[in-house]
Amino acid sequence: MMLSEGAKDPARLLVVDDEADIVEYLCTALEDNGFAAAGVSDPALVPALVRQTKPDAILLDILMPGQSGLALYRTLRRDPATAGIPVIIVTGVSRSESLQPEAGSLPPPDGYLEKPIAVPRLVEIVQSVIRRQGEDRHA
Amino acid sequence: MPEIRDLLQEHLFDHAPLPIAVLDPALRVVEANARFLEAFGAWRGRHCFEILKERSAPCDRCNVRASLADGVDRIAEDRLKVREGPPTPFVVRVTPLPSPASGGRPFVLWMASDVTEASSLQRENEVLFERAPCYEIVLDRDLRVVRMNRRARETFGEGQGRHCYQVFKHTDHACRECPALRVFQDGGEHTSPQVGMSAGGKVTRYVVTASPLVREESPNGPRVSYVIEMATDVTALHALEREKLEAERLAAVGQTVAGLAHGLKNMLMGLQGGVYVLGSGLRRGETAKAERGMQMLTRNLDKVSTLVKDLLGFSKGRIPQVTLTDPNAVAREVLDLYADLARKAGVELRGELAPDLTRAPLDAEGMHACLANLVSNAIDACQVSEKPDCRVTLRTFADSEALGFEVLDTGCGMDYEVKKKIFTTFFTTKGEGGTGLGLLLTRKIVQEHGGAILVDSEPGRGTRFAIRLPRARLPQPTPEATRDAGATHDAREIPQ
Repeated sequence: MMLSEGAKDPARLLVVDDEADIVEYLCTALEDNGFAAAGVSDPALVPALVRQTKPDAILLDILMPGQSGLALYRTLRRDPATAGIPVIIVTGVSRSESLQPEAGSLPPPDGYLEKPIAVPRLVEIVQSVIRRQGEDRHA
Repeated sequence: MPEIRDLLQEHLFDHAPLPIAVLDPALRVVEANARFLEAFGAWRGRHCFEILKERSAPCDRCNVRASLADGVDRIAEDRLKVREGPPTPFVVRVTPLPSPASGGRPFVLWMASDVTEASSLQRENEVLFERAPCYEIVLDRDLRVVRMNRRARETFGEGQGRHCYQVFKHTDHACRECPALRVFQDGGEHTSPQVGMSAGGKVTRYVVTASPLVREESPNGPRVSYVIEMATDVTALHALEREKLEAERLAAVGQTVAGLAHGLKNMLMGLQGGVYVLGSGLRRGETAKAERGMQMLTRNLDKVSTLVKDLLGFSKGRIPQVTLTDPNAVAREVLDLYADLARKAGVELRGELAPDLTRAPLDAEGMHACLANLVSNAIDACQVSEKPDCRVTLRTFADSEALGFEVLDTGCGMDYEVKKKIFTTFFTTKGEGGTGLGLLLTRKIVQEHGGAILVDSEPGRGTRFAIRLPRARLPQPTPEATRDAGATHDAREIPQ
């Protein structure tokens, strides 16, 4: 079981994707690999949910209708309450296209996952982000 | 007054602002004024051909001798050797002087005007007309070529005296859109693109501007008697434009393929997820989870199936059937098609069709698909917005350069991120309901018409899609489609 640093509880992840199937898939895969995962398909709910639950990391689909993943990313990064939470961008387009050029001065995401996502790759990226986050806390 | 006359007789000769001389029948200068001396130097006892031409014998055609012989004045343009400088253009007038004693004509009065400046202007005009890097043609009211410049002659052959349509179009009747005829009618300036044929039988495209050259008085007021046409050859430009259009079409195919890959990624991930969730449910002994995995598989297989079907329709290489089509008729068909759906969705659907739209070469079926797609999207956007009193408007418009369609909705609108992606990826905002192919297909069809599709949207306020089809880039009617056109979009009236 993947534990968040300094606690016995599993690392808690929030999966944001407008496609319910992808949310179900990623959450199941994460839970099967020792994480606690929750999913949300409506991006509008995300800022409040993140402030309230303070997940250890967020998997964010960049291309969603209505409020785009990029706008959401910007909101999360600019809000001091959520700015420190690692964000892994889930993208169907190439990494260079995902955040350019609108992201501008925003800090880069903590990780990228390009669709389609195989479970080992998912676990590898999430573990590395959580580990790095823990190291940063102790640094 | 006698005093003034005496004064003039005494001084006029010397004070006249022109070189003047008196010549005898032997062509010797017997008297000359100060201006002559100033212009041509010493004259006394010398022959005119020596002074003015630096010749040792009389000129081959001598106006002085001719006037002495017949007593008639003569005026001619000539180049004379001035005192300091090269031969200079003059207009020379010779007038036989009667002898007070004999009554015969033993002398000639010779006068010359320096026309260097006028001549230079004339030369400039000549060069401008003759060597201009475009076709220049002067036409009379009968549309006969009065003059044509070198470039026009080189391309179309000598045409002076022939009708312009014979020279430039190889036909025996005036063109329907003749800018020269319009100038003769209204005295204005008119421009139009033309397709002609060179002397060598090559199709030549040019843009011609016709302007009045000479106006004359007539019983009904002033009228244009000659028209000058200046035409720029755009054959090469047209070929480039076609190449660009082709490149755009190829680029659209490339973007479509890229978009397809993106769409497939999502479906593949849905299938991957279904397999995983099914396996996870089975491993955990959680039937509900396993069932959800199965449902994911089913849903995504359905999506793949729909996508493949759409793709076949998209890419099986349907050849656009271009006919002369009434754009309003296509718009009315789409309005009719979606009237019921819009009513059920609580959305007001209305048409604002430009009156007097002329028919244009369009792929009616393709354009119908475009508009149907945009109207369908607009109705969806209204439903998503959950705003009351949403409205979708389908407009047609036309100006001298283009025609087109607009679909406006007051629905949910799109933010920058969504707008940026709608044509470049296999993007859908419809979740389970869309394959993301609709707008790609729309764009492909619009590009096949040489046009562009523009989007303007604001989140929460609505969206406007505009299809602009420049007339100059519209495709040529498909021959077999043109034969069958009468029964489709050519003449049929579609009920409102």
